[in-house]
Amino acid sequence: MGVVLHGDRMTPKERIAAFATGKEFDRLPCFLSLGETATSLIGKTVAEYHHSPRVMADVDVATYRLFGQDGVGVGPGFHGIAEAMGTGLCFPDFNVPYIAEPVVRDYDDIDRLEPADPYRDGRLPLFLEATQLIIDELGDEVNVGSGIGGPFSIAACLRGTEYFLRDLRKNPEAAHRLLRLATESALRYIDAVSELGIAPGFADPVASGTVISAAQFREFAQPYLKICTDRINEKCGKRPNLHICGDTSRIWTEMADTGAATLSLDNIVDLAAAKEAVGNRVCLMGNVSPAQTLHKGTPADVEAEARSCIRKAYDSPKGYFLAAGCQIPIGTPVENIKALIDTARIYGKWPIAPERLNP
Amino acid sequence: MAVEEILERLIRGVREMDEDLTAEAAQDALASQIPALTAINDGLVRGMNEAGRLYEIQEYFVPELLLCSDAMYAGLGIPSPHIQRAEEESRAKVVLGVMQGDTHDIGKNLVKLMLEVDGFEVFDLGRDVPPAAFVAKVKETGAELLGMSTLMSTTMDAMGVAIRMLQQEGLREQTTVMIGGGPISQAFADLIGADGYAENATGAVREARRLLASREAAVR
Repeated sequence: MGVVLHGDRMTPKERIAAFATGKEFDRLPCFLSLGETATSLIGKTVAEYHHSPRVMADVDVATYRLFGQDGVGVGPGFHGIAEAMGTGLCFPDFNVPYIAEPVVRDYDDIDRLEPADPYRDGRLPLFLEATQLIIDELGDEVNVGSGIGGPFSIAACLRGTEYFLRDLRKNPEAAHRLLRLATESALRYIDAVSELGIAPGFADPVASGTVISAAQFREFAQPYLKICTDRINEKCGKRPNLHICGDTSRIWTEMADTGAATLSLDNIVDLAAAKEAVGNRVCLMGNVSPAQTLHKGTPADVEAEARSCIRKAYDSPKGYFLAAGCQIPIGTPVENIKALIDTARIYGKWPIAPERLNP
Repeated sequence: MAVEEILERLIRGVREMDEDLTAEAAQDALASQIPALTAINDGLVRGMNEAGRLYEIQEYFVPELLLCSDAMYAGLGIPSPHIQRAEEESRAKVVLGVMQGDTHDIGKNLVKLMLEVDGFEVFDLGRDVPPAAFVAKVKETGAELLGMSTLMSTTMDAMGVAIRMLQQEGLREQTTVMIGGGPISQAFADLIGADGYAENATGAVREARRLLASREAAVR
């Protein structure tokens, strides 16, 4: 039994377990996507974070002690998996990593590519090590996850996004070859992290409806996500969280069809519409605006928008978690992040009183 | 070969993402002595505008626009060297770029494409551009429009810095500033005193034209 923080009556682990088994719990869960964007809390740069399991773990411990969020964990995302297959990344001190040199210059290069070995390639071993450290320090109180990229985003990172997007029409066969390789790398990481007792989650930003059509999602993103989701279910007995940034309003059904348990949605979509569309199939998560509200707003702005999110989705049949629409930006004021999770504590206290949520 | 038939192939080549068809039609246009600007404006540009409309109604997405632009640029290289200097009307100038610290430029490239297609002369500073570089280019070119883009929330504040620098240089009055990108919103544009905001590339062109027209009207 872990330490209960911040006036909660249950630990996050107890709360999520109760949610998952249909039992009563104390308040609406709230997830905070921090990690690489919160390194300043312990006086470290983002570059340092990305090369040190100790720093990765320390950031999660620091944010968890400060906020008491319902999940922690670190993972390679899509950049880290592509990097382990040979794509070159750049690591600024005060910004998230970005692609410097995609490994696939032309499609003959694919023949030389191998799926990443999570125990040996790139920085994947660092993420496994960090995950174990976080489990050791926090695993009694809060569920630990590990974020990886969806195969579509991994493939875009291997090829260079603007070329990969063209390939969908110009060279779909080659795109599928790349996607199969990306999926194989993801599966190996899934297997490795499952050995630690962790079910990873996905972010697949390049597969957003802001970028590609629903038909392209169905052909090039969905099947590969499903392969990964099936593996997670097979290894961990759990289904993952799937986050896609931007406009997902035309692909909610497809996202649910991947077998994900939870859809994490960005601030530009309407949670009420998502609830109508797929709330009877999947848990929903989101969607306070990361840039406009969390980063640039006041705590009162955050609370107002969070209450609006809760109002729209608290009664979603398969459940709802409060969260930001996407990763919480570097430099977001601590009091704004606190305001987000405290809104879950105050207005999300079970049983939720809808009249308290009115604007 | 009938002029109409060649122009129709130019339009279709661009709209249907067919580089070969477009280049072949561009060669035919040259051979048939169709004026360069006619081949460009009534052929290639019209095709790109049709692609833009398909993007607006969500039939085309980013992959399609990229391929349409490839076809357009494949055709454009052929008539371009033959543009008569006198034929070129003075075009509105725009400086474009992605903020310092950010390398996501697909959106900015689509905006550049649609602005060029609409007749703007674009000075593209690329990506990872410091505020001072935007201002210097505006000063150097006398551009009426400055467009700044970012996909990252950490680089948004540099947009405000660029606007303040324009003020310091005495350039703010004569420069229309537009911003765009994932984390950008009308509220943020208002906050930093930008003149305009658009959600996507085709919206950016409409907004640019609207702002320049209202500026002209105000001056008169």
